[in-house]
Amino acid sequence: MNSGKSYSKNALISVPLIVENLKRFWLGSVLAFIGYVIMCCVPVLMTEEEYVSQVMKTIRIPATIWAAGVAIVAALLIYRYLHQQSSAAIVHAMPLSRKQLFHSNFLSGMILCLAPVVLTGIILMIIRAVGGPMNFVEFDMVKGFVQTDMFSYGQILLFTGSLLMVNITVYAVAVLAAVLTGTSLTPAGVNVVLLGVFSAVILILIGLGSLFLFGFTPPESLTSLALYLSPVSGLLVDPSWKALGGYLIASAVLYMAAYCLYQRRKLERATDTLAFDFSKPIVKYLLTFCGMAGLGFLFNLLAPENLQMPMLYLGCILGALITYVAVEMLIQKRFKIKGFVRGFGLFAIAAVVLFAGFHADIMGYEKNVPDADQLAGVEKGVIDYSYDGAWSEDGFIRDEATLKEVAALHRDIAADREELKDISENGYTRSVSLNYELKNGKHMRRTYIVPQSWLMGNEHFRAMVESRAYKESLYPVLAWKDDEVVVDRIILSPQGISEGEFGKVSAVLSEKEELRSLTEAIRADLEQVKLEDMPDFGGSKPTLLSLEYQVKKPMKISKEMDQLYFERYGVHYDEDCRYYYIDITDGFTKTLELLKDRGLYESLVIGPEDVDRMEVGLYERSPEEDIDEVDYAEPPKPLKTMTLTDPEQFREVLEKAAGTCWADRYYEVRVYPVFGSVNEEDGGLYLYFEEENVPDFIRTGVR
Amino acid sequence: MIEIKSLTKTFDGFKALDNLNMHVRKGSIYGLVGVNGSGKTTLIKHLTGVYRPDSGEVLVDGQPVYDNVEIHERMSYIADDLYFFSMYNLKGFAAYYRKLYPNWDQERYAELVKQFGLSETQKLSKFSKGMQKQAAFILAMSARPDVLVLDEPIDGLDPLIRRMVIRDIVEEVAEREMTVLVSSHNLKDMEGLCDCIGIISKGSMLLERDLDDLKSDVHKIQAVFPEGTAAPVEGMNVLFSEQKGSVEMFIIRGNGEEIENRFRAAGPVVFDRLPMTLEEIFIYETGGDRDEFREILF
Repeated sequence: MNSGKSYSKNALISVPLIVENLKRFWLGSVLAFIGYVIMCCVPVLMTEEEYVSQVMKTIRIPATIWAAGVAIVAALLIYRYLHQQSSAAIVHAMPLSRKQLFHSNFLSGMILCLAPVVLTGIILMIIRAVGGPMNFVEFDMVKGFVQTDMFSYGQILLFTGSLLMVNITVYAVAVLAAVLTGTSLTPAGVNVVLLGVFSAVILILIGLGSLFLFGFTPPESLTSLALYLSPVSGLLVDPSWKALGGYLIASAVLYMAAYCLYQRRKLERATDTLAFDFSKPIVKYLLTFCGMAGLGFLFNLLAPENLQMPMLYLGCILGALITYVAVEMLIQKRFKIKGFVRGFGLFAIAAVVLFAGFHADIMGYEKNVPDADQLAGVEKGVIDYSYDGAWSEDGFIRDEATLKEVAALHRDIAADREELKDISENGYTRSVSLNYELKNGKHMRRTYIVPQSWLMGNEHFRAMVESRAYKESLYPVLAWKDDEVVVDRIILSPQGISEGEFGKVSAVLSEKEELRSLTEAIRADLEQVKLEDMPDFGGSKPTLLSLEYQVKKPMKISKEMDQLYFERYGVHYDEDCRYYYIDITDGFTKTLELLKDRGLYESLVIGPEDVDRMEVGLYERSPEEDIDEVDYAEPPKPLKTMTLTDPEQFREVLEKAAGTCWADRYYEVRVYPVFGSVNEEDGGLYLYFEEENVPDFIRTGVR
Repeated sequence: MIEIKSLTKTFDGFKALDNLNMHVRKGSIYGLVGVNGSGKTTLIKHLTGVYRPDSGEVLVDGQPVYDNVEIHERMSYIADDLYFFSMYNLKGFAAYYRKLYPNWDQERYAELVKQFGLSETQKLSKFSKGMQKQAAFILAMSARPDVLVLDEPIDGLDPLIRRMVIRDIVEEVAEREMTVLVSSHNLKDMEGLCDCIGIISKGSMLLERDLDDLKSDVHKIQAVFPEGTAAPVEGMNVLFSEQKGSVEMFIIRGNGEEIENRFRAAGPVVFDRLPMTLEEIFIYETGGDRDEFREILF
C-alpha cells in the first residue's frame, strides 16, 4: 500500500484544477478582453469631450450583451465535461470530490470572465487619469445648470461594476443551465429559458390582461419584476449600486442552487437533454406557454380588426402544438414522442382554464372600483397620460372632493364597460389613466380607452376636470406658491406674429404689484375655465396674446413629460422649466379686463383697425397625409382663394378664428397689417376655420 | 480489497445491475467477463466512484468509493471510451496528474514513455486509438495506484503492446501487491493474466472463481475400458461425459489423484489426464450451452 499524502481531501477547491482550467481556456479570456477594448475603450478615446456622456450610455448596451455572451460561453466550455459519458466518467474518477470540482470550475470561469472586465476598467481609469475630466453641462432641478464629469472615476467604477455583475449573474445562470442539462447543445436553450422565459411569462400575462380585461394596467411592480428577472435587461435599465447588490445576492442563490443540483446530479444522465426529471415539465410547459402566446399574439396583431380574437385563439392552438411537440422531441430525443395525449392534454386544460378565467374575469378585475374613502390620491394627468410617475414632486391629486368625482367617474366607466369595450364603434377616443394611491399604502392602476363624447357627457368627468385640484396639475401657475417660484417678469406678446409687425410691441411687467395682480387675474380666469373651453376638449377660441412668465427658480414641472401634454391645455414651458407660457383667449375675462385697465390691451391685441386686408384660401389635406411629414418647402396650394377688405368682416374673423386647425378641409386666413411691412414668405398672422365655424361670407366667397 | 455488496442500479426502469456481489482480493488480478450490455462498464463506473449506487455498497478497503478523494488518489482507471483535454499532449497531462495523484512516480513515467516509445509533445487527440490507450496506461501506472481498473484494455492494442501491458501489470502486482480489475467481453483475453474470474450477465454476477482452484478441481479424463467394464464414475461429480466409439471422455470435478487412482484400479486399456483451457473449464463448469457464455467463450 502506498502512503503518499493526500493533496486535497478536505479542501473546498482544487488549485491544480483551477490552474489547469486557466491554462485550457485563457485564449477565450483574451478574446473577451479584445472585445471589451474595442467596445469600450476605443469609442471613449475616439469621442470628443462633449459626447462622452452619450458614448458612456451607448457602449453599455453592446458591452453588457458581450459580457453576458462571454459568461455563457465560459460556463458551457468549463462544464462541458458533464455532457459526454467519457469526460464525465474520467473527470469524476480523478481524485477530486464533487464539491471541489464544482467550486473550482466555478471559480475558474469567474476568473476567466472577470479578468477581462477588470482590465478594461483599469484601462478606462488610465484614460481618465491621462485625459482628465470630460465635462457635460446639464440642468438640475434644484441646482440649476451644473457641470458634471461624465467620465469620472465613480462612473467608470459603476460601469465596470455593472459589467462584472452581468458576468457574475449570467455565469451563475449558465452554470445552473449546464448542470441541469445533459448535452452540450441544450444549455444554450436552457440559458434562454432561465434568462428570459420568466420575464416572458409575466409579459404574456400582462398581454392577456390587456386583451381580455377592460382597463387592465399592469402594476408597476409586475413590469419591474419582468425587467429585473433578466439580469441583462435589469442592469441595462438600472445600473445602480443597489441593483448590483441585488444581483449579487441573486447570483449567490443561483450558485448554491447549482451546487446542490451538481451534488445530486447523476452522471449517467450525460447525453440526456435534461439531466433532472423535475426540470422536464418546467422547461416543457414554460416554453409551450411562450410558444402558444407568441404565435397567438402574432396572429392577433396581423389579423383584420374583426378577426383578431379568432386569430388569437388559432395562433395559440398552433403555437402550443408546435412548441410542445418540438420541445418533447428534444427532451425525449426521438421523433415519435411518448405521452403526447396526456402531456399536451394537461397543458390544454390549463390553457383553457387560463383563457376562460381571463375572459370571464373570474378575479373581478373589471368590477373592482375603489370607494372614494379608500383613496389617498390619484396621479395627476388622468387624460392621455402615459408618463408613469414622471412628476417632479408629489404627483397625486389628494383633494377629497376631486377624488370623489374620480371614483364616481371610475364607477361609471366600469358600469358602462360592455358598451365602451367596442372601440371600433366609439369614434374619437381618449385614454383615462387612473393610478390610485390607496390609504392602505397599496397602489391600483387602470387605463381605459373611452370615447370623448362619452367623457364629455359624464358629469363626474366634468367635475373632475373643472376642479381646482385637477387644474393645478395642468396649470402650474395655480399650484405654485409665490415664495417657491420667484417670478422675475411677465412678457405679454401679440400672438403668432413678429414683434412690431402689426405695430404691436410686447409688454414687459416687472413691478411686484403688477406681477401679483396679473397672476391673480390669470388664476381667477383659469379657475373658471370650463371643460369645453379647454383646447384639448374642443375649445377653439383664438389665442389673442401670449403670456410668458420668467422665473428665477425653476418650477417643479417634470422634465420627463412631453411638453405636448401641457400644450393640449394651452400651456407651454421650456425644457428647463424657467419659462412658462399661457395662451390667453377671450375666455380670460379678468386678465383681459386688467390689461384693458392698464392700457395694455390695445397695444397688444390685433383689432380690425390694424388690418389692411385678409387673404383667404380653402385647403384640403389628403387623407393619407401624415402631419409629421408635411413638406414645408412646398406649401399646399389652395383650392380657392378670396380677399377680405371689410373691417366688420375683419372683426368677425379675428373673434372667431382659431390659431390652429387639424381638420382635413380648412380655411386659412392670412392677415396683413396696416402698419409696417410683412414678410412675403410667411409674415402676417395666420388664422383658421373649419367648415363648422367658418363665417358664411367666407364659405360663399371662396366658391 | 474491493467489496461490492448487493449493488443495484436502474436506468429509466431498466435494471443495469441487480443485487450484484463481488469480491476482489488484494494483490489479485480479477477478470470481469461479460457480453456487451451485461453491465461490466456500469459496474466499473460504480467501482471508480463515477456512479452513485441506487442501493448496495461499493467498498475499497472497507470505505465507500463514491466521492471519496482518498480512495481516488489510490486508484487509476482506464476507460474503454478514453477522454483527454483537447489540445493537451502527454507531457501536459502528466504534469496535471502529478499535481493530482500523491503517489505519482515521475521516474516510472519516464520509463514507460521510453518503453512504449510515445511522443510526449504530440497532441493526444492526434494519437491513434491504440496509442491513446498506451498513453492512458502510462498515466495510470505512473500514478502508482493501489487499485487499477481497466475497462476493455486490450481492445485496439497490437499483440506486442498487449504483452508489454500485461507484463507491466503483472510486475506491479508482484512488486507492490497492486489490485487489478480488468474487464473484457472475451474470456480468451483473460487467459494468462487473471487469477480470478467473475462472469457477469444481465446485471448479475453469475459466478466468481479462483482460477487456480478451478484448474486443480476440474479434470478431463480420456479412457478406453475392456468390453464389459464400466468406467468407475459412480459417486463422482461428472460435469460432462461423451463416448466416441470405444473412447470415453469425462470432465470430473474432484481430487485429481483420487480420480486417477480409481480409474486405474478399474484396469483401463487407455488412460489419459488431459490439460484444460480456461474456456473448457468454464464450458463444463457452467453447463457450457448457456447463451450468455457462448459469446465470451468463442
